[in-house]
Amino acid sequence: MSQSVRTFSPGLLVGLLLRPVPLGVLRIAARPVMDGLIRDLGPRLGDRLSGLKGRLAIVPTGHPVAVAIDIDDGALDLDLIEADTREAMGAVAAVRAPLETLTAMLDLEGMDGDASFFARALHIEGDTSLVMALRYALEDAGAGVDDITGAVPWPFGAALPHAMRVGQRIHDAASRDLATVQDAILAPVRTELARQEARMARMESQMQRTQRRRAS
Amino acid sequence: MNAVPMELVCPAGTPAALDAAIEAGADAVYFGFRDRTNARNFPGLNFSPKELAEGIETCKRRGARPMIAINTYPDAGDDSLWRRNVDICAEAGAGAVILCDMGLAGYATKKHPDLRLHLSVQASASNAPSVRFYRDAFNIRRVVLPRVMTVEEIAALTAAVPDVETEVFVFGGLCVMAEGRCSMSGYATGISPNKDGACSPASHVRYEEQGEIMTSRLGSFTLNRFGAGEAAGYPTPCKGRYRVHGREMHLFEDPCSLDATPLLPAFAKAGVTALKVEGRQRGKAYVAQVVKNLKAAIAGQVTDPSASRAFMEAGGATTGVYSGTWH
Ligand code: SF4
Repeated sequence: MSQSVRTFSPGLLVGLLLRPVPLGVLRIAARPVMDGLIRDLGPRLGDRLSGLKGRLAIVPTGHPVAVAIDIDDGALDLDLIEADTREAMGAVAAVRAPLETLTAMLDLEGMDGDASFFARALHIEGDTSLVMALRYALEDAGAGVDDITGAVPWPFGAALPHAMRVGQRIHDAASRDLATVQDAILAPVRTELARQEARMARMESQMQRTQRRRAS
Repeated sequence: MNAVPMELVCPAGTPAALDAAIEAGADAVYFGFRDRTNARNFPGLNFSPKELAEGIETCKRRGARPMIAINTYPDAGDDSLWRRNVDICAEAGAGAVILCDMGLAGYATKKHPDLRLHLSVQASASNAPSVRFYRDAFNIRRVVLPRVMTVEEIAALTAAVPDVETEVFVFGGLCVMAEGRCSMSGYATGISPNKDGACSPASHVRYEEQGEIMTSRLGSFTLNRFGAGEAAGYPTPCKGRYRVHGREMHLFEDPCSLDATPLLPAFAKAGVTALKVEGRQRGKAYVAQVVKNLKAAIAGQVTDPSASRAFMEAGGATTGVYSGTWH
Protein backbone atom coordinates (compact mmCIF):
# COMPACT_ATOMS: atom_id res chain seq x y z
CA MET A 1 0.00 0.00 0.00
CA SER A 2 1.47 3.32 -0.94
CA GLN A 3 1.76 5.93 1.76
CA SER A 4 1.68 9.60 0.96
CA VAL A 5 4.18 11.53 3.00
CA ARG A 6 2.75 14.23 5.22
CA THR A 7 5.01 16.43 7.26
CA PHE A 8 2.17 17.74 9.40
CA SER A 9 1.14 14.54 11.18
CA PRO A 10 -0.03 13.25 14.56
CA GLY A 11 3.48 11.79 15.04
CA LEU A 12 4.90 15.29 14.80
CA LEU A 13 2.37 16.57 17.32
CA VAL A 14 3.37 13.79 19.73
CA GLY A 15 6.97 14.98 19.37
CA LEU A 16 5.98 18.54 20.12
CA LEU A 17 4.04 17.41 23.20
CA LEU A 18 7.08 15.50 24.44
CA ARG A 19 9.31 18.56 24.26
CA PRO A 20 8.73 19.81 27.81
CA VAL A 21 9.38 16.35 29.31
CA PRO A 22 12.97 16.11 30.64
CA LEU A 23 15.19 13.57 28.87
CA GLY A 24 15.96 11.85 32.18
CA VAL A 25 12.28 11.06 32.73
CA LEU A 26 11.87 9.73 29.17
CA ARG A 27 14.97 7.55 29.56
CA ILE A 28 13.70 6.03 32.82
CA ALA A 29 10.30 5.37 31.25
CA ALA A 30 11.83 3.82 28.13
CA ARG A 31 14.53 1.72 29.86
CA PRO A 32 12.43 -1.42 30.48
CA VAL A 33 11.22 -1.32 26.85
CA MET A 34 14.78 -0.92 25.57
CA ASP A 35 15.95 -3.81 27.76
CA GLY A 36 13.11 -5.98 26.49
CA LEU A 37 13.98 -5.19 22.88
CA ILE A 38 17.67 -5.95 23.40
CA ARG A 39 16.74 -9.27 25.01
CA ASP A 40 14.16 -10.35 22.42
CA LEU A 41 15.37 -8.74 19.23
CA GLY A 42 19.16 -8.90 19.69
CA PRO A 43 19.53 -12.66 19.10
CA ARG A 44 17.17 -12.54 16.10
CA LEU A 45 19.38 -10.10 14.22
CA GLY A 46 21.78 -13.00 13.79
CA ASP A 47 25.03 -12.36 12.06
CA ARG A 48 23.70 -9.69 9.68
CA LEU A 49 25.38 -7.05 11.84
CA SER A 50 28.60 -8.97 12.45
CA GLY A 51 31.77 -7.07 11.65
CA LEU A 52 29.95 -3.74 11.97
CA LYS A 53 30.57 -1.23 14.71
CA GLY A 54 29.21 2.19 15.56
CA ARG A 55 26.26 4.22 16.77
CA LEU A 56 23.20 4.74 14.62
CA ALA A 57 20.67 7.39 15.68
CA ILE A 58 17.01 7.13 14.64
CA VAL A 59 15.38 10.53 14.91
CA PRO A 60 11.60 10.84 14.49
CA THR A 61 10.98 14.22 12.84
CA GLY A 62 10.13 16.95 15.34
CA HIS A 63 10.83 14.76 18.37
CA PRO A 64 13.15 15.94 21.14
CA VAL A 65 14.69 12.49 21.54
CA ALA A 66 16.37 9.97 19.28
CA VAL A 67 16.91 6.24 19.68
CA ALA A 68 20.63 5.49 19.81
CA ILE A 69 21.49 2.01 18.55
CA ASP A 70 25.01 0.96 19.42
CA ILE A 71 26.22 -1.92 17.29
CA ASP A 72 29.34 -3.82 18.21
CA ASP A 73 30.07 -6.82 16.02
CA GLY A 74 26.53 -8.16 16.14
CA ALA A 75 25.77 -7.11 19.73
CA LEU A 76 23.16 -4.43 20.26
CA ASP A 77 22.55 -1.72 22.85
CA LEU A 78 19.70 0.81 22.86
CA ASP A 79 19.20 4.13 24.62
CA LEU A 80 17.30 7.39 24.32
CA ILE A 81 19.41 10.46 23.66
CA GLU A 82 18.73 14.09 22.91
CA ALA A 83 17.97 14.60 19.20
CA ASP A 84 20.70 16.74 17.70
CA THR A 85 23.15 16.86 14.84
CA ARG A 86 24.72 13.51 13.93
CA GLU A 87 28.07 14.61 15.29
CA ALA A 88 26.60 15.83 18.59
CA MET A 89 24.80 12.48 19.02
CA GLY A 90 28.13 10.71 18.52
CA ALA A 91 26.57 8.68 15.70
CA VAL A 92 28.35 7.40 12.60
CA ALA A 93 24.97 7.41 10.89
CA ALA A 94 21.60 9.03 11.48
CA VAL A 95 18.18 8.35 9.99
CA ARG A 96 15.52 11.06 10.20
CA ALA A 97 11.91 10.44 9.21
CA PRO A 98 8.38 11.13 10.43
CA LEU A 99 7.27 8.66 13.10
CA GLU A 100 4.61 7.37 10.70
CA THR A 101 7.23 6.54 8.04
CA LEU A 102 9.43 4.72 10.54
CA THR A 103 6.56 2.54 11.75
CA ALA A 104 5.23 1.98 8.19
CA MET A 105 8.62 0.57 7.23
CA LEU A 106 8.17 -2.19 9.81
CA ASP A 107 4.89 -3.19 8.18
CA LEU A 108 4.55 -5.67 5.27
CA GLU A 109 1.80 -3.46 3.89
CA GLY A 110 3.93 -0.33 4.20
CA MET A 111 6.78 1.18 2.21
CA ASP A 112 10.22 -0.35 2.03
CA GLY A 113 13.31 1.72 2.84
CA ASP A 114 14.03 2.52 -0.81
CA ALA A 115 10.47 3.74 -1.45
CA SER A 116 10.63 6.00 1.63
CA PHE A 117 13.96 7.33 0.40
CA PHE A 118 12.60 8.02 -3.13
CA ALA A 119 9.66 9.89 -1.57
CA ARG A 120 12.14 11.99 0.45
CA ALA A 121 10.41 10.81 3.63
CA LEU A 122 13.63 9.28 4.92
CA HIS A 123 16.90 11.16 5.35
CA ILE A 124 20.16 9.34 5.83
CA GLU A 125 23.34 10.98 7.10
CA GLY A 126 26.78 9.46 7.53
CA ASP A 127 27.71 5.80 7.06
CA THR A 128 25.06 4.40 4.73
CA SER A 129 26.34 0.82 5.12
CA LEU A 130 25.43 0.69 8.82
CA VAL A 131 21.91 1.93 8.02
CA MET A 132 21.46 -0.67 5.28
CA ALA A 133 22.75 -3.55 7.38
CA LEU A 134 20.44 -2.68 10.28
CA ARG A 135 17.48 -2.32 7.93
CA TYR A 136 18.04 -5.79 6.42
CA ALA A 137 18.71 -7.33 9.83
CA LEU A 138 15.49 -5.90 11.31
CA GLU A 139 13.47 -6.92 8.31
CA ASP A 140 14.78 -10.46 8.29
CA ALA A 141 14.15 -10.73 12.03
CA GLY A 142 10.53 -9.82 11.34
CA ALA A 143 10.88 -6.87 13.72
CA GLY A 144 7.69 -4.88 14.00
CA VAL A 145 5.52 -2.76 16.22
CA ASP A 146 4.57 -5.98 18.04
CA ASP A 147 8.14 -6.26 19.30
CA ILE A 148 7.89 -2.83 20.88
CA THR A 149 4.52 -3.53 22.47
CA GLY A 150 5.78 -6.95 23.59
CA ALA A 151 8.71 -5.30 25.35
CA VAL A 152 6.48 -3.04 27.45
CA PRO A 153 6.40 -4.51 30.99
CA TRP A 154 3.28 -5.78 32.78
CA PRO A 155 0.66 -4.41 33.53
CA PHE A 156 1.02 -1.74 30.80
CA GLY A 157 2.02 -4.32 28.19
CA ALA A 158 -1.17 -6.31 28.74
CA ALA A 159 -3.35 -3.23 28.22
CA LEU A 160 -1.35 -1.99 25.25
CA PRO A 161 -3.02 -3.85 22.35
CA HIS A 162 -6.39 -2.30 23.27
CA ALA A 163 -4.82 1.13 23.81
CA MET A 164 -3.06 0.83 20.43
CA ARG A 165 -6.32 0.03 18.63
CA VAL A 166 -7.94 3.09 20.16
CA GLY A 167 -4.79 5.11 19.44
CA GLN A 168 -4.82 3.97 15.80
CA ARG A 169 -8.40 5.19 15.39
CA ILE A 170 -7.52 8.55 16.95
CA HIS A 171 -4.39 8.71 14.77
CA ASP A 172 -6.35 8.04 11.57
CA ALA A 173 -8.91 10.73 12.40
CA ALA A 174 -6.18 13.20 13.40
CA SER A 175 -4.24 12.43 10.19
CA ARG A 176 -7.28 13.28 8.09
CA ASP A 177 -7.89 16.53 9.98
CA LEU A 178 -4.26 17.58 9.87
CA ALA A 179 -4.07 16.78 6.16
CA THR A 180 -7.01 19.11 5.58
CA VAL A 181 -5.29 21.82 7.62
CA GLN A 182 -2.00 21.30 5.77
CA ASP A 183 -3.71 21.45 2.37
CA ALA A 184 -5.53 24.63 3.38
CA ILE A 185 -2.28 26.27 4.51
CA LEU A 186 -0.39 25.19 1.38
CA ALA A 187 -3.09 25.94 -1.18
CA PRO A 188 -2.03 29.58 -1.79
CA VAL A 189 1.63 28.51 -2.02
CA ARG A 190 0.77 25.81 -4.58
CA THR A 191 -1.20 28.28 -6.69
CA GLU A 192 1.68 30.73 -6.65
CA LEU A 193 4.13 27.96 -7.56
CA ALA A 194 1.99 26.87 -10.52
CA ARG A 195 1.85 30.49 -11.68
CA GLN A 196 5.64 30.83 -11.42
CA GLU A 197 6.16 27.53 -13.28
CA ALA A 198 3.92 28.64 -16.14
CA ARG A 199 5.81 31.96 -16.30
CA MET A 200 9.17 30.16 -16.42
CA ALA A 201 7.94 27.83 -19.18
CA ARG A 202 6.76 30.84 -21.22
CA MET A 203 10.12 32.59 -20.75
CA GLU A 204 12.04 29.43 -21.72
CA SER A 205 10.07 28.98 -24.94
CA GLN A 206 10.48 32.70 -25.74
CA MET A 207 14.24 32.36 -25.26
CA GLN A 208 14.35 29.30 -27.53
CA ARG A 209 12.39 31.17 -30.22
CA THR A 210 14.77 34.13 -29.99
CA GLN A 211 17.80 31.84 -30.22
CA ARG A 212 16.33 30.07 -33.27
CA ARG A 213 15.60 33.41 -34.97
CA ARG A 214 19.17 34.56 -34.32
CA ALA A 215 20.60 31.30 -35.68
CA SER A 216 18.57 31.43 -38.91
CA MET B 1 3.17 -17.76 -28.56
CA ASN B 2 3.55 -19.59 -25.24
CA ALA B 3 0.97 -22.23 -24.35
CA VAL B 4 2.05 -22.30 -20.69
CA PRO B 5 1.97 -19.12 -18.61
CA MET B 6 5.28 -17.33 -18.27
CA GLU B 7 7.20 -18.15 -15.08
CA LEU B 8 7.51 -15.29 -12.58
CA VAL B 9 11.03 -15.15 -11.13
CA CYS B 10 11.19 -13.06 -7.97
CA PRO B 11 14.02 -11.58 -5.90
CA ALA B 12 14.90 -12.37 -2.29
CA GLY B 13 17.66 -10.64 -0.33
CA THR B 14 16.79 -12.31 2.96
CA PRO B 15 14.96 -15.47 4.08
CA ALA B 16 12.06 -13.20 5.13
CA ALA B 17 11.82 -11.73 1.61
CA LEU B 18 11.95 -15.27 0.22
CA ASP B 19 8.90 -16.18 2.32
CA ALA B 20 7.13 -13.00 1.18
CA ALA B 21 7.84 -13.82 -2.48
CA ILE B 22 6.48 -17.37 -2.20
CA GLU B 23 3.48 -16.15 -0.21
CA ALA B 24 2.71 -13.62 -2.96
CA GLY B 25 2.77 -16.33 -5.64
CA ALA B 26 6.32 -16.44 -7.05
CA ASP B 27 6.92 -19.39 -9.39
CA ALA B 28 10.66 -19.13 -8.82
CA VAL B 29 12.82 -17.19 -6.38
CA TYR B 30 16.40 -16.10 -7.01
CA PHE B 31 18.84 -15.33 -4.23
CA GLY B 32 22.54 -15.45 -3.52
CA PHE B 33 25.42 -15.81 -1.10
CA ARG B 34 26.51 -13.08 1.29
CA ASP B 35 29.82 -12.50 -0.47
CA ARG B 36 31.52 -11.19 -3.61
CA THR B 37 30.02 -13.84 -5.86
CA ASN B 38 26.73 -11.95 -5.68
CA ALA B 39 25.99 -8.87 -7.81
CA ARG B 40 23.93 -7.50 -4.90
CA ASN B 41 26.71 -7.69 -2.33
CA PHE B 42 25.36 -5.15 0.16
CA PRO B 43 25.98 -5.07 3.93
CA GLY B 44 23.54 -7.18 5.95
CA LEU B 45 21.89 -8.59 2.82
CA ASN B 46 21.84 -12.10 1.32
CA PHE B 47 22.22 -15.66 2.57
CA SER B 48 24.86 -17.52 4.54
CA PRO B 49 25.56 -21.02 3.12
CA LYS B 50 23.29 -22.48 5.82
CA GLU B 51 20.46 -20.02 5.10
CA LEU B 52 20.89 -20.67 1.40
CA ALA B 53 20.48 -24.43 1.81
CA GLU B 54 17.42 -23.81 4.02
CA GLY B 55 16.05 -21.37 1.41
CA ILE B 56 16.37 -24.02 -1.29
CA GLU B 57 14.49 -26.46 0.95
CA THR B 58 11.76 -23.91 1.68
CA CYS B 59 11.26 -23.22 -2.02
CA LYS B 60 10.99 -26.88 -2.89
CA ARG B 61 8.58 -27.58 -0.04
CA ARG B 62 6.33 -24.72 -1.10
CA GLY B 63 6.43 -25.35 -4.84
CA ALA B 64 8.72 -22.53 -6.01
CA ARG B 65 11.89 -23.10 -8.03
CA PRO B 66 15.05 -21.95 -6.19
CA MET B 67 17.60 -20.22 -8.41
CA ILE B 68 20.96 -19.10 -7.07
CA ALA B 69 22.79 -16.12 -8.55
CA ILE B 70 26.57 -16.48 -8.65
CA ASN B 71 26.79 -13.60 -11.04
CA THR B 72 30.06 -11.74 -10.67
CA TYR B 73 33.38 -12.38 -12.37
CA PRO B 74 35.99 -14.34 -10.36
CA ASP B 75 39.38 -12.92 -9.50
CA ALA B 76 42.21 -13.70 -11.86
CA GLY B 77 44.19 -16.50 -10.28
CA ASP B 78 41.68 -17.36 -7.56
CA ASP B 79 38.15 -18.46 -8.33
CA SER B 80 37.92 -20.80 -5.33
CA LEU B 81 35.07 -18.86 -3.66
CA TRP B 82 32.99 -18.95 -6.85
CA ARG B 83 33.65 -22.69 -7.34
CA ARG B 84 32.87 -23.44 -3.69
CA ASN B 85 29.51 -21.72 -4.04
CA VAL B 86 28.65 -23.68 -7.19
CA ASP B 87 29.43 -26.89 -5.28
CA ILE B 88 27.18 -25.81 -2.37
CA CYS B 89 24.33 -25.13 -4.79
CA ALA B 90 24.72 -28.50 -6.48
CA GLU B 91 24.78 -30.29 -3.14
CA ALA B 92 21.77 -28.39 -1.80
CA GLY B 93 19.74 -29.20 -4.93
CA ALA B 94 19.34 -25.71 -6.43
CA GLY B 95 16.80 -25.52 -9.25
CA ALA B 96 19.29 -23.52 -11.29
CA VAL B 97 22.48 -21.53 -10.91
CA ILE B 98 22.57 -18.16 -12.65
CA LEU B 99 26.12 -17.33 -13.69
CA CYS B 100 27.98 -15.14 -16.15
CA ASP B 101 31.62 -16.17 -16.18
CA MET B 102 32.69 -18.67 -18.85
CA GLY B 103 35.39 -20.22 -16.67
CA LEU B 104 32.89 -20.84 -13.91
CA ALA B 105 30.31 -22.14 -16.38
CA GLY B 106 32.96 -24.55 -17.68
CA TYR B 107 33.69 -25.72 -14.14
CA ALA B 108 30.00 -26.17 -13.30
CA THR B 109 29.26 -28.10 -16.51
CA LYS B 110 32.15 -30.47 -15.94
CA LYS B 111 31.83 -30.99 -12.19
CA HIS B 112 28.03 -30.99 -11.94
CA PRO B 113 26.62 -32.08 -15.31
CA ASP B 114 23.08 -32.33 -13.88
CA LEU B 115 23.07 -28.82 -12.45
CA ARG B 116 20.82 -26.58 -14.54
CA LEU B 117 22.65 -23.43 -15.67
CA HIS B 118 21.12 -20.08 -16.60
CA LEU B 119 23.16 -17.30 -18.17
CA SER B 120 23.02 -14.15 -16.07
CA VAL B 121 22.16 -10.76 -17.53
CA GLN B 122 25.71 -9.88 -16.44
CA ALA B 123 26.99 -11.85 -19.46
CA SER B 124 25.06 -9.54 -21.79
CA ALA B 125 24.26 -12.18 -24.39
CA SER B 126 21.93 -10.41 -26.78
CA ASN B 127 22.20 -12.16 -30.16
CA ALA B 128 21.65 -15.63 -31.57
CA PRO B 129 25.31 -16.63 -32.21
CA SER B 130 26.22 -15.65 -28.65
CA VAL B 131 23.32 -17.64 -27.12
CA ARG B 132 24.12 -20.66 -29.34
CA PHE B 133 27.73 -20.49 -28.18
CA TYR B 134 26.78 -20.57 -24.49
CA ARG B 135 24.33 -23.43 -25.18
CA ASP B 136 26.87 -25.52 -27.07
CA ALA B 137 29.86 -24.83 -24.82
CA PHE B 138 28.21 -24.92 -21.37
CA ASN B 139 24.75 -26.44 -21.84
CA ILE B 140 23.12 -23.15 -20.83
CA ARG B 141 19.37 -23.78 -20.67
CA ARG B 142 18.11 -20.24 -20.19
CA VAL B 143 19.41 -16.75 -20.96
CA VAL B 144 18.47 -13.68 -18.93
CA LEU B 145 18.40 -11.00 -21.59
CA PRO B 146 20.03 -7.60 -21.11
CA ARG B 147 17.64 -4.66 -20.90
CA VAL B 148 18.87 -3.22 -24.18
CA MET B 149 16.64 -5.15 -26.60
CA THR B 150 13.30 -4.31 -28.18
CA VAL B 151 10.43 -6.81 -28.06
CA GLU B 152 10.94 -7.45 -31.80
CA GLU B 153 14.60 -8.29 -31.22
CA ILE B 154 13.62 -10.65 -28.39
CA ALA B 155 11.09 -12.38 -30.66
CA ALA B 156 13.74 -12.82 -33.35
CA LEU B 157 16.18 -14.27 -30.82
CA THR B 158 13.72 -16.79 -29.34
CA ALA B 159 12.78 -17.89 -32.88
CA ALA B 160 16.44 -18.28 -33.86
CA VAL B 161 17.41 -20.35 -30.77
CA PRO B 162 14.17 -22.07 -29.71
CA ASP B 163 15.87 -24.66 -27.49
CA VAL B 164 17.25 -22.01 -25.10
CA GLU B 165 14.69 -20.36 -22.84
CA THR B 166 14.63 -16.59 -22.47
CA GLU B 167 13.96 -14.61 -19.30
CA VAL B 168 13.34 -10.84 -19.38
CA PHE B 169 13.25 -8.21 -16.67
CA VAL B 170 9.76 -6.89 -16.27
CA PHE B 171 9.93 -4.71 -13.17
CA GLY B 172 12.48 -2.88 -11.01
CA GLY B 173 15.65 -0.82 -11.19
CA LEU B 174 17.35 -0.22 -14.50
CA CYS B 175 21.00 -0.61 -15.31
CA VAL B 176 21.40 1.36 -18.51
CA MET B 177 24.72 -0.05 -19.67
CA ALA B 178 25.15 -3.44 -21.30
CA GLU B 179 25.21 -5.28 -18.01
CA GLY B 180 28.49 -6.60 -16.77
CA ARG B 181 30.40 -3.97 -18.70
CA CYS B 182 29.89 -0.76 -16.75
CA SER B 183 32.91 0.63 -14.95
CA MET B 184 31.58 3.99 -13.77
CA SER B 185 30.99 3.04 -10.14
CA GLY B 186 34.25 1.07 -10.12
CA TYR B 187 36.06 4.17 -11.38
CA ALA B 188 34.54 6.33 -8.65
CA THR B 189 35.08 3.92 -5.74
CA GLY B 190 37.69 1.34 -6.68
CA ILE B 191 35.05 -1.35 -6.01
CA SER B 192 33.73 -3.07 -9.13
CA PRO B 193 30.05 -3.92 -9.62
CA ASN B 194 31.14 -6.80 -11.82
CA LYS B 195 33.85 -8.29 -9.60
CA ASP B 196 32.90 -7.19 -6.09
CA GLY B 197 29.15 -7.21 -6.59
CA ALA B 198 28.20 -3.66 -5.64
CA CYS B 199 27.42 -0.70 -7.85
CA SER B 200 27.65 2.41 -5.66
CA PRO B 201 28.72 0.50 -2.54
CA ALA B 202 27.06 1.86 0.61
CA SER B 203 30.45 2.43 2.22
CA HIS B 204 31.15 5.11 -0.41
CA VAL B 205 27.70 6.74 -0.56
CA ARG B 206 26.96 9.87 1.45
CA TYR B 207 23.93 12.13 1.57
CA GLU B 208 24.06 15.75 2.64
CA GLU B 209 21.06 17.87 3.52
CA GLN B 210 21.14 21.63 3.25
CA GLY B 211 17.70 22.81 4.17
CA GLU B 212 15.34 21.15 1.70
CA ILE B 213 18.10 20.28 -0.76
CA MET B 214 19.68 16.83 -0.67
CA THR B 215 23.00 16.10 -2.31
CA SER B 216 24.14 12.54 -3.01
CA ARG B 217 27.81 11.73 -3.35
CA LEU B 218 29.74 8.66 -4.43
CA GLY B 219 33.34 8.74 -3.23
CA SER B 220 34.61 12.18 -4.18
CA PHE B 221 31.99 12.70 -6.91
CA THR B 222 28.76 14.64 -6.50
CA LEU B 223 26.08 12.65 -8.29
CA ASN B 224 22.90 14.56 -7.75
CA ARG B 225 21.20 17.43 -6.04
CA PHE B 226 17.49 17.00 -5.35
CA GLY B 227 15.43 20.13 -4.87
CA ALA B 228 12.71 20.65 -2.28
CA GLY B 229 10.09 17.92 -2.62
CA GLU B 230 11.76 16.40 -5.68
CA ALA B 231 11.59 12.59 -5.68
CA ALA B 232 15.02 11.02 -5.21
CA GLY B 233 16.78 8.31 -7.21
CA TYR B 234 19.49 5.76 -6.50
CA PRO B 235 23.01 7.11 -5.98
CA THR B 236 24.38 5.36 -9.08
CA PRO B 237 26.56 7.28 -11.56
CA CYS B 238 24.20 6.52 -14.47
CA LYS B 239 21.34 8.32 -12.70
CA GLY B 240 23.46 11.35 -11.79
CA ARG B 241 22.91 14.87 -13.02
CA TYR B 242 25.88 16.43 -14.74
CA ARG B 243 26.75 19.79 -16.22
CA VAL B 244 26.90 19.45 -19.99
CA HIS B 245 27.39 22.47 -22.24
CA GLY B 246 26.54 24.68 -19.27
CA ARG B 247 23.28 22.86 -18.50
CA GLU B 248 22.64 20.47 -15.64
CA MET B 249 21.00 17.30 -16.92
CA HIS B 250 20.62 13.55 -16.48
CA LEU B 251 23.32 12.60 -18.92
CA PHE B 252 22.63 8.86 -19.17
CA GLU B 253 19.12 8.29 -17.87
CA ASP B 254 16.40 9.96 -15.84
CA PRO B 255 15.94 8.11 -12.56
CA CYS B 256 12.93 5.84 -13.01
CA SER B 257 12.06 2.16 -12.72
CA LEU B 258 11.17 -0.41 -15.30
CA ASP B 259 7.52 -1.43 -15.42
CA ALA B 260 6.85 -3.54 -18.49
CA THR B 261 3.51 -4.91 -17.23
CA PRO B 262 1.66 -3.51 -20.28
CA LEU B 263 3.99 -5.56 -22.50
CA LEU B 264 3.22 -8.97 -20.96
CA PRO B 265 1.09 -10.11 -23.94
CA ALA B 266 3.86 -9.00 -26.30
CA PHE B 267 6.45 -10.97 -24.31
CA ALA B 268 4.23 -14.06 -24.41
CA LYS B 269 3.85 -13.66 -28.16
CA ALA B 270 7.61 -13.24 -28.52
CA GLY B 271 8.12 -16.67 -26.93
CA VAL B 272 9.58 -15.45 -23.63
CA THR B 273 9.66 -18.22 -20.98
CA ALA B 274 10.08 -16.23 -17.79
CA LEU B 275 9.62 -12.76 -16.36
CA LYS B 276 12.05 -11.43 -13.80
CA VAL B 277 11.59 -8.89 -11.05
CA GLU B 278 14.69 -6.89 -10.11
CA GLY B 279 15.26 -5.96 -6.46
CA ARG B 280 17.06 -8.33 -4.11
CA GLN B 281 18.04 -5.18 -2.19
CA ARG B 282 14.40 -4.22 -1.72
CA GLY B 283 12.21 -4.94 1.30
CA LYS B 284 9.44 -7.46 1.93
CA ALA B 285 6.76 -4.85 1.23
CA TYR B 286 8.14 -4.32 -2.31
CA VAL B 287 8.42 -8.03 -3.01
CA ALA B 288 4.91 -8.78 -1.74
CA GLN B 289 3.21 -5.94 -3.61
CA VAL B 290 5.05 -6.23 -6.93
CA VAL B 291 4.80 -10.02 -7.12
CA LYS B 292 1.08 -9.96 -6.29
CA ASN B 293 0.42 -7.38 -9.03
CA LEU B 294 2.44 -9.19 -11.67
CA LYS B 295 0.91 -12.54 -10.84
CA ALA B 296 -2.54 -11.01 -11.38
CA ALA B 297 -1.41 -9.39 -14.64
CA ILE B 298 -0.02 -12.69 -15.95
CA ALA B 299 -3.39 -14.28 -15.15
CA GLY B 300 -4.97 -11.66 -17.38
CA GLN B 301 -6.54 -9.60 -14.61
CA VAL B 302 -6.66 -5.83 -14.87
CA THR B 303 -4.22 -4.36 -12.35
CA ASP B 304 -3.85 -0.89 -10.91
CA PRO B 305 -0.42 0.47 -11.93
CA SER B 306 -0.54 3.02 -9.10
CA ALA B 307 -0.30 0.17 -6.55
CA SER B 308 3.38 -0.24 -7.37
CA ARG B 309 4.12 3.42 -8.11
CA ALA B 310 5.44 4.25 -4.61
CA PHE B 311 8.13 1.60 -5.02
CA MET B 312 9.54 3.15 -8.19
CA GLU B 313 12.73 5.12 -8.34
CA ALA B 314 11.91 8.84 -8.30
CA GLY B 315 8.27 7.74 -8.67
CA GLY B 316 8.70 7.27 -12.44
CA ALA B 317 7.99 4.27 -14.68
CA THR B 318 9.24 3.30 -18.14
CA THR B 319 8.92 0.32 -20.45
CA GLY B 320 12.56 1.00 -21.33
CA VAL B 321 14.13 -0.17 -24.54
CA TYR B 322 11.51 -2.91 -24.94
CA SER B 323 9.33 -0.38 -26.75
CA GLY B 324 12.23 1.27 -28.52
CA THR B 325 12.99 4.15 -26.15
CA TRP B 326 14.57 4.65 -22.76
CA HIS B 327 11.94 7.05 -21.52
S1 SF4 C 1 26.34 2.89 -12.77
FE1 SF4 C 1 24.32 2.42 -13.57
S2 SF4 C 1 24.73 1.36 -15.52
FE2 SF4 C 1 26.59 1.28 -14.31
S3 SF4 C 1 26.47 -0.67 -13.18
FE3 SF4 C 1 25.64 0.95 -11.86
S4 SF4 C 1 23.43 0.87 -12.23
FE4 SF4 C 1 24.41 -0.20 -13.94
